[in-house]
Amino acid sequence: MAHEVETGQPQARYSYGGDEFVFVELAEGMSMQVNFRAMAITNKLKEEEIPGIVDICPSNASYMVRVDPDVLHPDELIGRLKEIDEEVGDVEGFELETRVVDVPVMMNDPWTHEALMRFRDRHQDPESTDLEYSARINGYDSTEDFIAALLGSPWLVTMIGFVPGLPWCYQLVPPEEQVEVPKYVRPRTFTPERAFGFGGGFAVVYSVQGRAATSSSAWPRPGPRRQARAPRLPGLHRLPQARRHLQLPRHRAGGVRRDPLEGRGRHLGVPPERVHLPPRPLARGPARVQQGDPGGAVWRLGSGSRAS
Amino acid sequence: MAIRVRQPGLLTTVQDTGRFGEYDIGMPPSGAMDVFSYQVGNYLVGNDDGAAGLEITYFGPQLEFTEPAVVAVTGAEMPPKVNGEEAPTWEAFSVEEGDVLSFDYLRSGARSYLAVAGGIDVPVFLHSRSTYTLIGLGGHEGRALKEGDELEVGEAGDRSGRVGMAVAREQIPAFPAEAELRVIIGLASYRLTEESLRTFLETTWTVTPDADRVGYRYRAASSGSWSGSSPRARGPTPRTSWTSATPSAPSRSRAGSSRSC
Repeated sequence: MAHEVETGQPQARYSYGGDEFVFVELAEGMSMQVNFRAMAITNKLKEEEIPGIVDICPSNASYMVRVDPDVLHPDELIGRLKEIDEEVGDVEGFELETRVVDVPVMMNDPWTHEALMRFRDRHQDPESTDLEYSARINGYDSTEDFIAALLGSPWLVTMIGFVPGLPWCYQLVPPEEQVEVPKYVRPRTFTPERAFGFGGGFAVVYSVQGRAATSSSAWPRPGPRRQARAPRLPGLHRLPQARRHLQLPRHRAGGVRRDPLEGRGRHLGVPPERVHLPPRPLARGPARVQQGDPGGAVWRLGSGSRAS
Repeated sequence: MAIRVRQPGLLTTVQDTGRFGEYDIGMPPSGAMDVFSYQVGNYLVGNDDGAAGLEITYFGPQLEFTEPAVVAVTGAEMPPKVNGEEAPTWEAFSVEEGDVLSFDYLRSGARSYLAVAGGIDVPVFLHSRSTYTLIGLGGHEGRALKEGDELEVGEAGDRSGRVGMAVAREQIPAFPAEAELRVIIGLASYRLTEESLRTFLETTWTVTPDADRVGYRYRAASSGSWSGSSPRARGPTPRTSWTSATPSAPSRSRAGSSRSC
């Protein structure tokens, strides 16, 4: 049964996953702070190199640890985790070093449009498209405004899963500006690979074709053809990524066709390596961004101070 | 080359103990589903722990040996044959160059394991030879075996002394059609009422055809006893999850649930 602990933070729930796993739910709701807490706790646990720990996996609002129960009893681990939880506290001032990756996205593309039209009967509003529906329920007058809101801010990769290379991206804007889109009433069973999708408060990029997709909107990400099936692994999980999703005009997407919307959305005008995070700090946001070297940024949780 | 695949069977993959420590990049362990049978096979032929073998699902392959080898078949009851002659299970035996190993129909269980002295020598990917078919990584070209595939076997030396090494009859696991499972109550159980949990534990569940290396979906055999619930979990871990009236148990080739966040 779940163990309860008082931390001053949202109640963490410690529970077993079979004989070999300890699962810790830090909060029932997702927030930047709880994600940072998951990362801070698991980073600290990694540093301790406790014998018997096989796997450490931070997640959006939780984390999981796998143990060899012949070496380390799950209860012993839970005891230590509770101490680390207190040491980490509210992660005020916690810093994450990230690298910044630009992700060109083509909106309203033919491939995901076909996919979403196939499953209209499973959607809350079969009469509109995912984009139209998402714009409406988020209070935008047009899909263009919605797209601008969606792509106009950087995102933070908060976890990778449930297949290798699939990033969960959290929009770095004040909570009241955050886009939220419910999952389909019944999930789609097909999403093209390399689609950009949105579900709940998260954006994802499908690294492989989704066979049980649950997110609400999806747009493929044009780009170089994959050279191999294997994702580029080194470093992927060592350094959290900040991402910006940039709208790509259709003529850049392999010359499929000219985009009537060309020029209306933001698009990638310079090669990715020359794109930096916007200089303006996210003044009202839960996190601040400071320009670091061109390839990276430091994210700091807190309301008053800038990262140094 | 040491093994030529004449017929691949339904789903035959290269597996070892698994690829651990990589959940944080979304990489599930993969590896043999029935770890006991897989490991015992290695012990019988004298392999080190973790040597790769073949996991054979429901319907066996036809394999031609291009070199002599010492092998063992363990796991689900799927009687092996060498050149059409019955061969032992849970016992190391030798095959000669040109011998063809095939399998009779499955009698019980789901997965059998073929251990070969020296181990199946496919490239190591992220410290494991296990196949992760969902995204095509590891094992033999990231996929189940196909007709015409050729597999290398690692250096074994003289293993003739292993021939006849067998598991005592009383140690061979049974694979009954109905089994009582040991359950650890844990993850997200607080979302169930006590009554729901009791009902869940007392219900006889039937494995649906929706069962593979990623997960098993179950249906209540006694209808009406389980009405379901929709707990949402928040991370990747083996557990039972259910979104309606069909709970599922994620397995070795799964990292998290599509309902998790």
